[in-house]
Amino acid sequence: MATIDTQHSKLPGTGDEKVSYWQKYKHGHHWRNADDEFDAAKIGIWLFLATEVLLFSGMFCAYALFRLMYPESIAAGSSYLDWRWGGLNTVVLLISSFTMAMAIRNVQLNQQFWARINLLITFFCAAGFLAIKLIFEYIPKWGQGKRPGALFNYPFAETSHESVWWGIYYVSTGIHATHVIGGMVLIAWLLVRQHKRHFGPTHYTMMEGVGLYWHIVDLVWIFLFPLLYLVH
Amino acid sequence: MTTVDNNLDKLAGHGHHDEGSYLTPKYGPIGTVWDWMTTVDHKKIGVMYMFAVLFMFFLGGFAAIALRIELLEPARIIDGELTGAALKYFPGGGGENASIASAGNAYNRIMTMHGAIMVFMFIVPGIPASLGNFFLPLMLGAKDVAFPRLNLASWYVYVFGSMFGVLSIFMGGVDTGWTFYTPYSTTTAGQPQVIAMVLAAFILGFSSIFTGLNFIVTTHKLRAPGMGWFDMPLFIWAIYSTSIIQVLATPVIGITLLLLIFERVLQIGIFDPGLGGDPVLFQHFFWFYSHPVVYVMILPAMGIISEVLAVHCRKRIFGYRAIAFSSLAIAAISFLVWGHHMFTSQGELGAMIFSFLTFFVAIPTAVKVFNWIATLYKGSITFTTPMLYTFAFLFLFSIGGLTGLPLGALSTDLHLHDSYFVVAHFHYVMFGGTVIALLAGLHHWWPKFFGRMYHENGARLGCLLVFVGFNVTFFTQFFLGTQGMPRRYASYVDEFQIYHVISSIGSFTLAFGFVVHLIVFLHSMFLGEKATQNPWGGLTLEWETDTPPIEHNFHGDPVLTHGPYDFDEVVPPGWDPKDYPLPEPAPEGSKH
Amino acid sequence: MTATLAGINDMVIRLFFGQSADSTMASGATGSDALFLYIWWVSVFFFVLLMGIMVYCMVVYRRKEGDVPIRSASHNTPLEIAWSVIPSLLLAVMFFWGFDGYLKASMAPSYAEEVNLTGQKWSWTMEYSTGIGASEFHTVGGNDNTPIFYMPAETPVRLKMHSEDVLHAFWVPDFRMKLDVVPNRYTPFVFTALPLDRSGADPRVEIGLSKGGQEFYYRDHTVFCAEYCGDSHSEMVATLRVVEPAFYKAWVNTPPYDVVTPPVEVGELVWKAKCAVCHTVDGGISTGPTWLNAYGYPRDFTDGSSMTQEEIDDKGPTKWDDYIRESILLPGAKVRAGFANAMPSFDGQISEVELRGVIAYMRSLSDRDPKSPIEGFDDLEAEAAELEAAEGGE
Ligand code: HEA
Ligand code: HEA
Ligand code: HEC
Ligand code: CUA
Ligand SMILES: [Cu+2]
Repeated sequence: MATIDTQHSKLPGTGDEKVSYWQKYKHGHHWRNADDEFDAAKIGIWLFLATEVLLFSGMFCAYALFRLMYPESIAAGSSYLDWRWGGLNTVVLLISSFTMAMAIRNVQLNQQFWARINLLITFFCAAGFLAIKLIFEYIPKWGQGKRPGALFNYPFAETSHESVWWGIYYVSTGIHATHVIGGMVLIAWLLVRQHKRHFGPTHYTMMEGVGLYWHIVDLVWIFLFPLLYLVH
Repeated sequence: MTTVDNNLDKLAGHGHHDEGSYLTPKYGPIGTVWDWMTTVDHKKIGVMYMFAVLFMFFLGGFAAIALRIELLEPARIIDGELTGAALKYFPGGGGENASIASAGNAYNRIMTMHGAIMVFMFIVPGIPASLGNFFLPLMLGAKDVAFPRLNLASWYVYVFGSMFGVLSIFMGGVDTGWTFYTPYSTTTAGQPQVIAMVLAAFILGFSSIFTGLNFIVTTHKLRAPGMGWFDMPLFIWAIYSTSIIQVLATPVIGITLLLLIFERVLQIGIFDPGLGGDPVLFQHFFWFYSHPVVYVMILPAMGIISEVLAVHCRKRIFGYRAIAFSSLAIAAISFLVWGHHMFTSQGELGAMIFSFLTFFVAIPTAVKVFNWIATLYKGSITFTTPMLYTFAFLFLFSIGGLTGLPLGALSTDLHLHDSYFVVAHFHYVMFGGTVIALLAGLHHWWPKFFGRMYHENGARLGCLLVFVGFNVTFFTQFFLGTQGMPRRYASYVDEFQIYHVISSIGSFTLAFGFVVHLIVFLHSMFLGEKATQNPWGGLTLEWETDTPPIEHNFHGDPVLTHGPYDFDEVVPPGWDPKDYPLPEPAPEGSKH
Repeated sequence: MTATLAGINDMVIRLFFGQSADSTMASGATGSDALFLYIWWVSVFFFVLLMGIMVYCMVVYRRKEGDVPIRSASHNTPLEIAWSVIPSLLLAVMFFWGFDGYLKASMAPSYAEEVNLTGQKWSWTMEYSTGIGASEFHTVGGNDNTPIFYMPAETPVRLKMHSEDVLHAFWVPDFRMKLDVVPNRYTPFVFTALPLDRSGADPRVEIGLSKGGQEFYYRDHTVFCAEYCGDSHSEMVATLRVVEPAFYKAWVNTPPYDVVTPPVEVGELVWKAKCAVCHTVDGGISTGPTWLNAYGYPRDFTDGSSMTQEEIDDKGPTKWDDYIRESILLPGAKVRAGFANAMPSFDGQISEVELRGVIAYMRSLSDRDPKSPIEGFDDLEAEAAELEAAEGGE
């Protein structure tokens, strides 16, 4: 029995069915049963998401205060942003959230092929989001001198505190983008494990966890988008 | 299927079943070191944390003694030229440039280092990550914490973060105070070290979140069969409440420190009034974390006191539910009072609200103290070192907490804010509360840790020196504060000298007390008498396993059959019923 | 009974505040001390009660041979309620009392005397309505050159405070009052100093001011900076001298220096008030370079540039005069090698007269004073001037 190949092996006594990791996986050693382990992971992820929300809420507080203090600068800064790029990115992220949810559903139904397709779409949406952000927003703006704080060098600024606006813009979208990159790494990891048949109807904890994380990243953008692009 | 199972055990990070003590080395010297470094065993991680935080405590303690030496004289005695010259040799110390400009600065750097090390690297991780890590799963009857690898990660993140902190010292030190108030922290010239220190605090935050998250989930999902919420030892309640604060408050300091770094590097202008920002916003952010965090420091300490008190006076804890719920209440209210650190910098409305709420948080704390004292009544009190420290805790923490009251009241705080009164207050709660309770816990659980007893009378001597030294050091500081001595002062007016001298002498006594403790611990580790399974007669689950515990904690799956404090109903495990006479069973129907 | 209680109260106040309760110094102080006493008694009551029970238990219930664990109640609801509610009520009183005192302490009538106060690394500057500032200095503790600010007794005063750089806090322990001093914002510190007791009963009231042939009483209060602000935070000390209103009126209308004050003296006053925390005049080491024998010497700067001897000789005094001017108004422009760029700008805070005074003063401290009778820096001359400066510096 010690010779069982974890990836492709025959389930004893049944024709040529494959026994995958997810079928064999029972639960971690220190757990009493799989349900406890799954619930624990769920609680863990939710707590982690709570910390994420709190992290961003600090940023939102700073934003709100500045909006109160310098409404014109915020409005002027916002008017430099093109809502169409922001909107496009919102759509991209919404799609990716949807495909992520689909991928989990696929795994639960053991549709491994579709799970992979959906994960891939999610991954490329994330990449697309970053590409749009970088190529159509960060690079041109930076080039025009619309930079944060001390680097601010935009000669046509109309209001007094635009450098602060750009500070808030870059920091908040930057932290968000870091989360997107982190998400891409996680999704890539899921793809590898999915390829090795690690997930299936009875074991999909990691998928679920990353999925929840991805929805939060999406959610944060849903807040950032109107706050940054649509205020006037 | 068993083999497959074993295979997956490895994946979950566990080796083979091995009934030896968790301390027994299974490999050669290098293998053993590697085993410890990659271990996911909560006990080993707890022990590693314990050594790390004690090391940090000593580092911070040395800085404190340096402060006390400087304060012996009204004028500065740590000579500017000398330290200026020394600083030159550290990279980032500004080289030639720093030589004279930072002359007066040595005191401020040491003071900041003391505060930052003590808070971020010692006391916040202190009890939860060391004693908590070791005993939380044991007390719950679990084999490990919920996420063992996350636990190991938290340890490495802690070490990594602390390295940044130490690095900033070698780069020449930070002189902002542990509070990093803007705009001072963002504008002082030539200080890359500030970034290193802020980064350290930021990274340490992750470690704190990992630990907290792990403990919450463990408490929810890994309690032994039969253990309901109200069968949990109070230490677990305390750690659980602490973890909630850690998880909910730490992200906010995360974003704050991140913004502070950006502010420093890019001058984005969120906190710097010179650029249109608001320095008071920083203070709000900072204290939104740092007030709740003072309860991260004290709640686990209170948990220890509940355990030690019950065991060493062999009595059912009085008001179990009141103590358990007050932990949760403290955790909840702690999020609402942060503004009491800023009475002199915010508007009237805020001051009023925060002052009002501050008094709220005192009530659940008072409830705990009353219940502890009531537990003593008709107990069977021993005078072991843990118990002596418990008495010391009740004495010192009461003073510390009560002196929080004039700080919370508005008109008196206008006078006392940022004075030595505050310094004395927080040392009474942090040292007189947390460190004293940590010492109680260390002695109480020492046999479980290493399987050996400590030298009782040696430890009692240490306890006496610490208690006396501490009071001499810090009680005088209340008078300094009310008479007008501001904190963070490297020099002061002559009238204050007498108090400062007394205080410094006290601190030397205190340090001597720690030397005694250090000797006692070292002696015990190598020469101590072998400990039995249950030297004090405790009823919580950690006493039901071997001393020191076996690698998988328990032989078989523990099932809870009695409450943690049923001293009047059960003979403690490992005790002969002959030596433990129980009272007549209560008549039917009179059960409390 | 009431007399003894009052006596004990007085002792407590003396113990904590170093002076008796009835000689507190400003309107807010008495209220704050009374609240402090109330908190003290509540604390003492509970502390003694709890510790008393604790010690009693330690003695009576210490473990004896053959002790049987006692079967005891796990809780007692009425007791739990009692010890939550009673402290709550006591605390509620604390809150209202404190809030009331706080409101009283931060209100000043609109007719209050308004004085501008600027905090800056590491000195305080007062600017009275008549434009004058501090002109007297004395030593407090180890701090030489502590400025004396005159304040009227019995008159409501509002200090309109603001900071030039980082946060500071203005604390007058005798007034039991402090408030943060913030950049880009004004904060009001209000107080009414109590009348000066002329009977001689209060040892802190002294006589010794004279104006127009009359003798006046005064009382000194130390001021500390209570918010950490860097290297010399602990040297940011000043003195409030509370004087009789009549004296104050006369004093505030006398300019500290006018056209006839010699520039060197003006410079010295400016130095004491604003520069002495960082610059010594006796060659001693401090945050900034000493002014002894600074003027007229060549300089290297951190950016690699320098001011050479030739340039100084060519351009004569203007070169250095300009350099001083720039150092004060734009200190970051040229930073002397060996020093951090730690000097704050005094742009807008220093008048032309004062600027010229500083220049004159720095010249007087140097052996390269260009006003010496013979042109050039003849060796003999320099030696003589050095001797002189050394003597003058003592
Ligand atoms: C372990 C840490 C710890 C704990 C537990 C506390 C507990 C409390 N603290 Fe403290 N505090 C600090 C650590 C802590 N503090 C630190 C580090 C600072 C300074 C930070 C800095 O600026 O660097 C500080 C500063 C600080 C301030 C700001 C002072 C200033 O800067 O102006 C205030 C103001 O309200 C305050 C209040 C309180 C109160 C009301 C409690 C209450 O929770 C206390 C409750 C306890 C009791 C009341 C005593 C026990 C009860 C009895 C004996 C029964 C009888 C009781 C009654 C009748 C009420 N603290
Ligand atoms: C857990 C928290 C903690 C602990 C335990 C301590 C412990 C001590 N602190 Fe701490 N202190 C702080 C947290 C803490 N402090 C904080 C947060 C600040 C504010 C900083 C700021 O303003 O930013 C502060 C500020 C502070 C000040 C005020 C500085 C100022 O405002 O100018 C002083 C002055 O006396 C002081 C003294 C001491 C002393 C003497 C001890 C002693 O109890 C230490 C005793 C321990 C040891 C000595 C080490 C162990 C002993 C040995 C290994 C034996 C061998 C050692 C020797 C022989 C030297 N501390
Ligand atoms: C916070 C500390 C500080 C204060 C206050 C301060 N200075 Fe300076 N000063 C410095 C430092 C540091 C330098 C050296 C770096 C530089 O050249 O900018 C310096 C340099 C100078 C120099 C150039 C000296 C030389 O030898 O090259 C002059 C002139 C000067 N200061 C004048 C003044 C005057 C006048 C005042 C008061 C109105 C004043 N300073 C207040 C810190 C200070
Ligand atoms: Cu100014 Cu401290
Ligand atoms: Cu607080």
